[in-house]
Amino acid sequence: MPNLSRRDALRWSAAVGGGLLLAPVLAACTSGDGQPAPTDPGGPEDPDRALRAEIGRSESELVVLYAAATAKLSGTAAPLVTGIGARHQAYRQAIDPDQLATLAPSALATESAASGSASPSVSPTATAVPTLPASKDGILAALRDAEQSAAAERATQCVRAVDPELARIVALAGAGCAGAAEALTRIAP
Amino acid sequence: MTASAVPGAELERLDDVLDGTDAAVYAYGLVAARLDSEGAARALDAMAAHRGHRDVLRARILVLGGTPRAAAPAYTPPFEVEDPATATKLAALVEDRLAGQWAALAAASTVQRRLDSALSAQECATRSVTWSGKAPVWNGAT
Repeated sequence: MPNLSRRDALRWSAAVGGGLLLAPVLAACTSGDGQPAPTDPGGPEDPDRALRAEIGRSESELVVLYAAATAKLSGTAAPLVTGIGARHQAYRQAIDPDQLATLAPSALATESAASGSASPSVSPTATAVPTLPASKDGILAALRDAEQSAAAERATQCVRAVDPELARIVALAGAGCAGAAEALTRIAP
Repeated sequence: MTASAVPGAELERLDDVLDGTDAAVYAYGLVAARLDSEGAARALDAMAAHRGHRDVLRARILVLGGTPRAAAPAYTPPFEVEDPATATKLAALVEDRLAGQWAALAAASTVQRRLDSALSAQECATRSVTWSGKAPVWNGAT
């Protein structure tokens, strides 16, 4: 190891700061780039309401998929699958704290057409329980495919976000999906 | 309404990612030296990928009117890198942290450049898992 100064060490700390493990996601009251964040993310004035709902639905589907997979899996795969499922719950909560995903898509469309309207009163939509393959390999492959699709979606959804902080969280969610897909690939025989 | 970016903020985040990328290039030198030939080849491939990103980052900083900062002569890892286990641990850590920096850059970037940053975050996250062998446990409440 080269003899390095404390300054160099500090610089390393700065250079590798942040990251997925310690990402401060929910505590921010300003956006990632210093712009003011919406006063009420997901609220009536939030221009990203439809996007939050879209991603929230996708994350809800993944949560349900992982719950179904966890019920079928045992052994070494189970803790990994459980952990990834819990992470999707965290993504959903961070991106869609008001659970806009439970509103019918038509309600959000109606809402956006009527400017300044309050939250519509609608029946919540349910996430269908997916049918998974019977074999462990099939289940892991299904999860991996779902993660790869979600990663691709999050990349384009990040581009659509108006709020920079939402863009950052969605980019992190996409990175998490990509990492999860790789992890699932590695445990599948 | 469309997404917008503050040029100063984008420059700041670009500088962060460049710093993290320089650290990653340095780290992979340490990592490669402590792995077998197969592992070292993977480390050198990763180093080459980060070098490619570094060139693009420097160009983006220049386009925005900034001055790319030179890399430090050396970086001290947060722990001793003395064997294959600690080497792979460092590689995974560097990639994981860099994924977060790319995500922050995506947020600060104009729409045209957001996609590239978001995909780079995914690339780093995927590479992190190839080293650690496990998915990062993201705590959304912290």
